[in-house]
Amino acid sequence: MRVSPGGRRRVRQALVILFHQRASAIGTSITLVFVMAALFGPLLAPYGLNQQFASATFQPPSPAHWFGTDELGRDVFSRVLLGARDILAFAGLGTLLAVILGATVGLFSGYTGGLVDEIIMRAFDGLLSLPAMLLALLLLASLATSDLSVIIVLVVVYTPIVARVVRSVVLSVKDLAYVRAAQLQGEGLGWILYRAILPATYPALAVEGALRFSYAIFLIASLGFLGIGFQPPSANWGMMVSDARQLATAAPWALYFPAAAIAVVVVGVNLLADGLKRIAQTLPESQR
Amino acid sequence: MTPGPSHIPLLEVESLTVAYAGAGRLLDAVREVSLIIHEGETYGLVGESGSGKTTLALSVMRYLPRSAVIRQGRILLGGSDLLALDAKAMRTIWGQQIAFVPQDPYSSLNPSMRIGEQLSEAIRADGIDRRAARERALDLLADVHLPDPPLIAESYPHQISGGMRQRVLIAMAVSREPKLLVMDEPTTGLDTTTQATILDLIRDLIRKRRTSVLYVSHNLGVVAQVCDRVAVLYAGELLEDAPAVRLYARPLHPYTQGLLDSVPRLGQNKRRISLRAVAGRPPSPGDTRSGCVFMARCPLAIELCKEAPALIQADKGHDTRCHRWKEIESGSADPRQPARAKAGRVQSPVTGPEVLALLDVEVHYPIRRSLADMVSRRARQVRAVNGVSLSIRRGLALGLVGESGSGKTTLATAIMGLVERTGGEMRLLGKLLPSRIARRDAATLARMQMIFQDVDESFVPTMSIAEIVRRPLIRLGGSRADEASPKVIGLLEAVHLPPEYADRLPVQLSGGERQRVAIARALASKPDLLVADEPVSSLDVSVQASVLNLLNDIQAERDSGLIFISHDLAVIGYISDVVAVIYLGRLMQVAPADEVFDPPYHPYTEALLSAIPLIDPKGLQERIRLEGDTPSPVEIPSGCPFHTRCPRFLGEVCVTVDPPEQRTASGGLIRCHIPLDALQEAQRRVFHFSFPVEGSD
Repeated sequence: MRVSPGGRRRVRQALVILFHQRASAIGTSITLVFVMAALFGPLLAPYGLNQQFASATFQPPSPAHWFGTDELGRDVFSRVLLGARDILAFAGLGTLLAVILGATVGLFSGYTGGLVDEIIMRAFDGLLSLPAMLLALLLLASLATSDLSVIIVLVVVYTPIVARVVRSVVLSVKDLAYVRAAQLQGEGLGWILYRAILPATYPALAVEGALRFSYAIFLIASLGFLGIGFQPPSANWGMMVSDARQLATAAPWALYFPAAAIAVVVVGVNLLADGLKRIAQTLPESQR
Repeated sequence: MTPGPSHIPLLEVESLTVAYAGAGRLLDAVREVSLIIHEGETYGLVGESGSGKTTLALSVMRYLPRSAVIRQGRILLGGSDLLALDAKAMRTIWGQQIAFVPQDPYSSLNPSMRIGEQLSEAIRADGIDRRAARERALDLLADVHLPDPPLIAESYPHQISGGMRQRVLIAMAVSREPKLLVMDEPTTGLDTTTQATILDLIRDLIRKRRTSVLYVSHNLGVVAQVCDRVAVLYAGELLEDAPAVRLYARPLHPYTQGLLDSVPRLGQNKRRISLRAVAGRPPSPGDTRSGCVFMARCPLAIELCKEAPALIQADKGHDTRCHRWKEIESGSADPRQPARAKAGRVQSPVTGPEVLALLDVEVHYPIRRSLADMVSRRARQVRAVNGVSLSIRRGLALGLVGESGSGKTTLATAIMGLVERTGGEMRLLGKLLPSRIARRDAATLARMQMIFQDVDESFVPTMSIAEIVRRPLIRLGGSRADEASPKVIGLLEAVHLPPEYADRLPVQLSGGERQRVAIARALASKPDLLVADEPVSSLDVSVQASVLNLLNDIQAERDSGLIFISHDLAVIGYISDVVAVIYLGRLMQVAPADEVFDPPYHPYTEALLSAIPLIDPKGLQERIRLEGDTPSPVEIPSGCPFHTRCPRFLGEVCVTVDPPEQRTASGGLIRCHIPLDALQEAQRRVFHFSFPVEGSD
């Protein structure tokens, strides 16, 4: 695909806008820090995930163990750092698949219209009428517990939401002259959907994707807390919170730090989504 | 027009400069503009988009947005400086001293308040009690000639038509007898026949109340019809300021001349002479400028023009900002672009091989809002096109003219297969044309292409110009990907665009250039039929002419058929060989372009011609006005669909019987109950210019 001439300039513009507002600058920075942790965690972590210091259980935060140690003498900082990769990777992958699938369904359904659109959208309405958590629990109960199941849950839960957002954009552009012009020049369905209409949905997709990503992190952490979805020895922050809960009086830091990690990254990604929304709104109509 | 303005200045704008903050610097939208409006005077401000005309109007109202900065100048109303007043003091000025009539009647009224309430609220600012205000509101509604004022007063804005809303806004503006009315394009967006009645109203109000008016418009014809004095604004500078009659008859600025030449006059046809277009592209606000702002596009530009000219008084009351005005006045320098006389490519409209034949084409579609509507089969029908038969021949242009709701765009999209035809048949080069685009093969698609009304919306915004033009070459033109690129350059050259534009994005082009790209794209598959839906109506006046000439040249060169759709009868008359007048989805009249401006007319054509604002303040026009609005295509009147508004209504027969198709000597068609000779006898030529118009008789 050709990079459009204004593409690089627009990316720079977008970054300027993101960092211009304090809230979105903070959100972007937080997200970047967590992404770095996910990418380079194993290099940065002072200790291993399950490395135990038998002599140093229930240690409060200290220069040796920044976030303290838990009941098994594991370094909480290392565990939080190493936990970033799992949770971000799963949330990211699940969101990405949901965005791809949702965009495809939304494009097709909105463009085709009529009865097909009605059927798809009513089915999605049905899915959306269940709370995300309930839907996730129902699915996990019927699937084998594996990493794949968690991804499937995210895709099932978020695809309808993304599809609805994309469809609403499609409805607003599908009667525009450029779509008609594409029909007149004999373009096929794929070209019309992905080359002509899809770019118009990018701003909405970026915002929705970021938002879904933050909710995906939240959902995975919640499932971990309930002890569903992930199996030890992986370090799911939710699971860490759950484990530390029973010993909260003895080692509150083992509870606080993973909980804070969840809260901070969710808030950070949300702020980033807000920033993206602002960029989408400042783009002139013709560039959307 | 008015009893003549007095010589007491009411509004004086002195050396006003207004800038907008943008891209980290201030960009001047209006630069050192000075003007005086006398008591009782109607002052027209003409300019294209980006000329600063609306900014100037808003400055006078003190309605400028926050991003605007008044860098210098004074605005005096009756001698006191409006710019020195704070918001509280302005409240005593608004409504009582100056009032504003906005451009957009759709968003300017509160949708949740009844018309009567909104109007009496404006009046009650004077401290009148509720009942008196209500009485006064009804009087005002009657003053602006709204039928049944009590009913209108009880209506919500969405329940009345655009023309009626504009009347309400005018009533609101005059409600407190202001000395000055500022009108910003009050008739733009209205149909020609509605516009004519609103202009009548404005003229009438001005005459009765002796109100002064600042009238802002891009439409030279409209300004000619209402204004005593006209100023021409370009790139934020006042280029010429003169009494209307003088300005139109003897402009002393090359830009004014260019503007006047860019608009086809009624009855001017391409066969005799081509339009003189203004070269170049309009300036954008970020352009750095030195010297004369019009230099880059001016045919008379010389070395001296690099120095900015001052606004010079050329004659009493006639100012121009041109170094060479004396030469223009004496005739030794001609600012007119060389016009090309045509070799009289006169072809009889009924001969020549047929490209497209329409036989009784009908397009009806149901109004469906909900799932329940979709399931039930008894949805109401929009009857957009009702039995249209036409023949489009090679090398000829068919002009399709009609107001909004006439079905002209639906007909075009049905021809292209973008909406489904529900009746009749279409043949392309003798072969039956499937109704839906999905059923048409690539060869069929290649033979017919369309140019869309909304230029800005007709390209994928993220695609480069090269990509836009290359796709149809590959899909329909039979080019392989590697051989398409030189062809892209060739097509760009054919529409007079430089090859380096290939790498640009649509947003980086001006409106006129974008329309050229649209034409290039349509030409890629070498079509036999081009359908152009209002291709120039979104363009600035000065670039319209070049696009029209381009379309005309291309069509002649390629010997294709052209369907040209417009609401503007002058443009249609210029570009067409055959003119078809459509009303509520039916053809009312079809005539060779030479004949459509002479009787016998269909009564609807007659009314349309009478409604067009002539670009000539002294031109004469029969005054035929249509009552009410075009009926909805959901409930089309029985018999002759025009009978509800027809000024030559005969009686019962028009209501009950479908009018016959009467053939004229030249093969034209008039669908009316009145016999042709009776029409001929009753009608006179509707319009006469006060000065000879090139290319017409």
